Amino acid sequence: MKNILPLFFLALLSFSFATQSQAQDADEVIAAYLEVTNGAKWSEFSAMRMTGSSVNQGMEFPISVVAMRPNLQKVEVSIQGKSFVDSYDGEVAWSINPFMGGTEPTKKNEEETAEAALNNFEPELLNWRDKGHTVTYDGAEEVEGTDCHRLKLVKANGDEEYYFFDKETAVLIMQRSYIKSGPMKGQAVETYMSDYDEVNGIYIAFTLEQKVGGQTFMQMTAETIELDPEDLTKEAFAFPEK
Amino acid sequence: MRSNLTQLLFTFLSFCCLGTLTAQEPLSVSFGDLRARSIGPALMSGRVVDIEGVNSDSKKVYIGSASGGIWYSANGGADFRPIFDEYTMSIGHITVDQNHPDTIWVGTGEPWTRNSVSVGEGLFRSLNGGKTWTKIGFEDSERISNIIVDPTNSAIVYVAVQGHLWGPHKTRGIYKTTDFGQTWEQVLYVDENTGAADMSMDPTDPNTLFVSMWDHRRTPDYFVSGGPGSGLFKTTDGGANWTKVTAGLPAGKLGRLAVAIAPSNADIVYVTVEAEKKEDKGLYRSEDGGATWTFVSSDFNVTVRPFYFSRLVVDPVNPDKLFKCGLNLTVSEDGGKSWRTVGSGVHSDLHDVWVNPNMTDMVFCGTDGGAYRSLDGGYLFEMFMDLPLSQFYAVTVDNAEPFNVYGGLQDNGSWYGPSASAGGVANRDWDISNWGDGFHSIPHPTDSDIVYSESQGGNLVRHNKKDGQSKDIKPIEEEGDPDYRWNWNTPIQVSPNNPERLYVAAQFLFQSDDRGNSWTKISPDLTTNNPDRQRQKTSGGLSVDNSAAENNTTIYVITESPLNGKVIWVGTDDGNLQLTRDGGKSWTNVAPNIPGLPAFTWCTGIEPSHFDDKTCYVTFDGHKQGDKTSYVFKTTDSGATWTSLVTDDIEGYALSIREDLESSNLLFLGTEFGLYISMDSGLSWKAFRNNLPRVGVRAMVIHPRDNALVLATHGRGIFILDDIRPLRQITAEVAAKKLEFLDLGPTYFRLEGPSAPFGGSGNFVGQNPDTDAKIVYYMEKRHTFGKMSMDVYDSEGNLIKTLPAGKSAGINIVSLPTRLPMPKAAPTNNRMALFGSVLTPGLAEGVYTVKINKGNEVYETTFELLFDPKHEANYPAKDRKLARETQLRLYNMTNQLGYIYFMLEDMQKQAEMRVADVSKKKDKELIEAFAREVEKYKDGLVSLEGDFYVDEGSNIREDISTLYLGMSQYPGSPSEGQIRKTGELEGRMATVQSKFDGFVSRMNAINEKLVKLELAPIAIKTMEAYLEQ
Repeated sequence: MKNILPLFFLALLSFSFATQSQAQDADEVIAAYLEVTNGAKWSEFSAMRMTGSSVNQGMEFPISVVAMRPNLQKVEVSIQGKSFVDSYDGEVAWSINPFMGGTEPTKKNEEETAEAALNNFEPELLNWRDKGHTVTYDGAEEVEGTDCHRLKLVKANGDEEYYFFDKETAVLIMQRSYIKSGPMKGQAVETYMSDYDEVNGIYIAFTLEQKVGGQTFMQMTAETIELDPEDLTKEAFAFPEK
Repeated sequence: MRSNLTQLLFTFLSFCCLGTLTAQEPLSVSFGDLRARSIGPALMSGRVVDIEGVNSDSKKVYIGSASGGIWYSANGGADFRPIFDEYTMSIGHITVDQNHPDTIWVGTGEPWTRNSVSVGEGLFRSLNGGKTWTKIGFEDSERISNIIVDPTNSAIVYVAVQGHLWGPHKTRGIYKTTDFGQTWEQVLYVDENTGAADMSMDPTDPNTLFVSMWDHRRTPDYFVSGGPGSGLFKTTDGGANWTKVTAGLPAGKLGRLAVAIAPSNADIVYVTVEAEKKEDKGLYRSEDGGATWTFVSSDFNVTVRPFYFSRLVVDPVNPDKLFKCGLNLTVSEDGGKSWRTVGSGVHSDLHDVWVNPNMTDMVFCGTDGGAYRSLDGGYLFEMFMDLPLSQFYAVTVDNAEPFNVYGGLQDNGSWYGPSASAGGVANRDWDISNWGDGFHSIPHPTDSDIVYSESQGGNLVRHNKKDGQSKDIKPIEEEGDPDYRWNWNTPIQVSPNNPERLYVAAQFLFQSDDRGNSWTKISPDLTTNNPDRQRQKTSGGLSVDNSAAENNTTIYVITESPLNGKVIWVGTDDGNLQLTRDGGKSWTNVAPNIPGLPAFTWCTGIEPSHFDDKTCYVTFDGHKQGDKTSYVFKTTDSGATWTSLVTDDIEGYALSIREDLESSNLLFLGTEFGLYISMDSGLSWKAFRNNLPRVGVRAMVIHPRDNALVLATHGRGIFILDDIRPLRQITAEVAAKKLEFLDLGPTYFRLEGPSAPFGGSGNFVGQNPDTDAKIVYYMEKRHTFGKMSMDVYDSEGNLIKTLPAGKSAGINIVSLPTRLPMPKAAPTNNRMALFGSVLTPGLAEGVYTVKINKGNEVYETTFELLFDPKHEANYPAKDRKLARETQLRLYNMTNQLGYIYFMLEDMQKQAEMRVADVSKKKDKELIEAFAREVEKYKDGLVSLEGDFYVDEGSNIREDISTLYLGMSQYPGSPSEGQIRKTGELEGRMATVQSKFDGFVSRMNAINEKLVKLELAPIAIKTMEAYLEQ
């Protein structure tokens, strides 16, 4: 769940269809993507809040996600007054899981914290050279019936991700990454984006669906997305010291 | 701009013209959310051919299977997952570059070349521990038996190509790269019949290698191991020069050899030799790096079936301890002089051993029946129970509820198991009906106790499930008959028109109307009866291998037309396709009428149409003659003329075909590389990959009641497409629509019993069918911009749910949980009470309306939700009604209490704020007292203390939910006590409501004061607003 946030922003789009060309290399695909996503405007923002609902295994829960530059993130799911929290405040990654670890906030271990620190408020493909990443055009692939360009991103730390852009609209419709820790380490997670809509002039995917092995385990639909909400401060992410 | 406009106009006009030809156009539609599910089984597993570990982190283990891909464990075998499902399932060898353990080389194509072996597609490499793979080359190599990475230079890799099994080929021998796979040099080649079967590198000198070259060939009717090309070769200069090692080894022709240099002492080398003379066959040992050899053992497991069991593994630290894969695993600890055979329930037919170099008592082995792990150096082994590598040859179903699946497997008998089970289809759900190699296994259509099963060579039995007894019912030669020739995989068939009629075939077709007790021969010899193809008894080459696997000139397929019991089609393994239209009185071989079909090509599948008894579909497979072309044909005139249905969409030789039971446009084709579906009568095909690996589909059956397509895969067990009705409805007209609903008929509430939740990891559990109601629709294009959601309304027009809609191009399936949304309950710190308010009552039976809002457009359909009629007797409508009404009373109380709790909380908080706002002491005291009283009452409604486990309290919130939890999963009438207590709780809730109303009155009175003071009144939501928030 915690890796999906940047995708809201990665999936920025304007309604320009000027880029329906058959981009054949990574730079062309990204250039088209940046052009239509209004990348310059993206740099104006440094925080966001999303509220909506999440469907897991047929049950619907209210969800809220807040994030802040450079890598702060907090996901909160509420089940009848019980809060499930997953947060990273820049130093400490912590969670509350009433069904597994009681109702008290619990700090994560070193490996999980390191993974949480990899969250990036800014989409990985934006200014990817400055981040030390490598991006290559990796061929074409059909994604749920849609022909896509596939880009391969190798991050500075060696992590690999794949991005799938609809050939017809240049829109990002899927991202494939790999679970980095725990018993499912190495498993591919596919995140599908849809319902792009406008927020502060930028088009953002309002629905995300995550699948492992082709099977949906989470769908998240945003009701509201706010960029730079005034009442959001760093304290919102902090580990609640007693 | 102008040119763009012209082009657009041209495109538009072209499209219009094409529109008139729609009926002729291929219909290719994405399968979208239509997914296959695997039900295993994994309890007998399947053939494991190679095992590789990571030396620096020996919890990481890779298992290569004969036809089920590669499985990876990160935890020493606690669980496994597949990592190679997009490629050929036939694995030859896996090699980890131990200096860069994320680099994995995989040679595909099983080297253990039994009659049913699959084919590889070359060499692959992963640089990220198996997440992604790149094909490096050798596409046409068919089989790769070994790969060795130079431990001093990862750019240098040797690949042993065993090559083609069924014909001569030049891509064989040893290949070497010095540039990490960019270029390859063939450094050892003998001839086009001789492949590299094994390879071992000197651990102290990477330029020294031993290689065994193997002269061998298979045909449909014969196998030869051994010839002039076989031999042991050695290089000491990295492959530039090779010496054939002969001194001390047997003279004459050699067959398959295994070779292994002891990792801890490079002077000690072992080789097992298949030789011409029986007394020469056995294990040879060298103590001088291969210069001289001593014969040390002719133990049975050392010499048995070299083509299938030539793997020799020397312990990493003890040069005298070695494992030889044979019929059983055998272990020597004295350099091969004496052997002990491993028992402990390990499946026979061993193919590989891996010894953990960091803990040499940990030994893995791979067999025809899965993989095992020993922790005591190879005495006792435990089996991995989550490798669903089962190699089915055939599949049938019965009419039980849920239906059972029947089939036989390579070296693993015949089994049946349910298509659904509480908690998922687990290993324990399966039962065996016959042992040996299993093939066709067919339930009697009307007597649920009876199963017809067989083992290799036509050994047919009638098995009684009730008492476990089996009667041998194989036809026996009558006086004057020639010997019957039974295929390894002998066809049996139950008539679709007469449940008591059974067929089995040798070279003749036999019919029984008394469950196999007696048989009538209803055909002459339907094969070519070519004596040149009847050599089973001498098959094998240097080691006779007379197992029935090469029985030839036999019948392989029998099918009776579902429309006409006198129309029977028979296909043979030597290229005949015989038809009778008079119940066997006369037969015609129609194979010569098939254009483009080479003579003697094996007939693998026949599907007489369900709509016309002159129409039939057939598949042929020539790969055992070296021809891997796909052959699929259709006739509409009883075989007089045929049309090929093969298109470029299809990969792999064809193994099975089915025509849908309701739509003649819908065809299913199984090939060595997976499932293909045509929705336009075979004009075009599309590979189905949604959760189905690229595995051989040997057989299929469509369940006539449940509309499920059941696939027998040879390597990954049984897969089920639960509902093919959407595919039946895809037509050219539908495909041109922006969005079109597809009808699945009513959804039935399913009942599921409890399942055993424990047992640890590593136990395979197959997925159950999804019991949610499903909204299915086709979309021409993916939805990307603007909101698209789905609203569900009950029969009175109330909105009950809003769901995310499916957005894919092609078929979208949106699952609608058949339960009400969660109530908006008051908080609790009582675990069971929380469960009780999370699990909600089922939706009412009835008709629902679904509206899809896609941008500005609205698409509407309905669906019906019904109770499963087969459970009606146990749970009659009046009981279900009472259950639901009682559940709803508690559900509504939960919402009511939630409202009261949160409104009291709001009242309290606002009152506390107003205390500061008012100035008069009396007013302050009044409001403060009100706040405290509200708080106290509110806190008494719920239990928030305790540990959420075993130190918990219970107030009315918890009492409601725990009572609800007790009845929520039961479809029938609640108990007297449950109904009584529901009434009591309603009484208590009336008191709570009355108390709340009292607080509201007092709040209103306070508000009058606040208004007079020009302060904002205390405001609370209405119940409606609360529930909608």
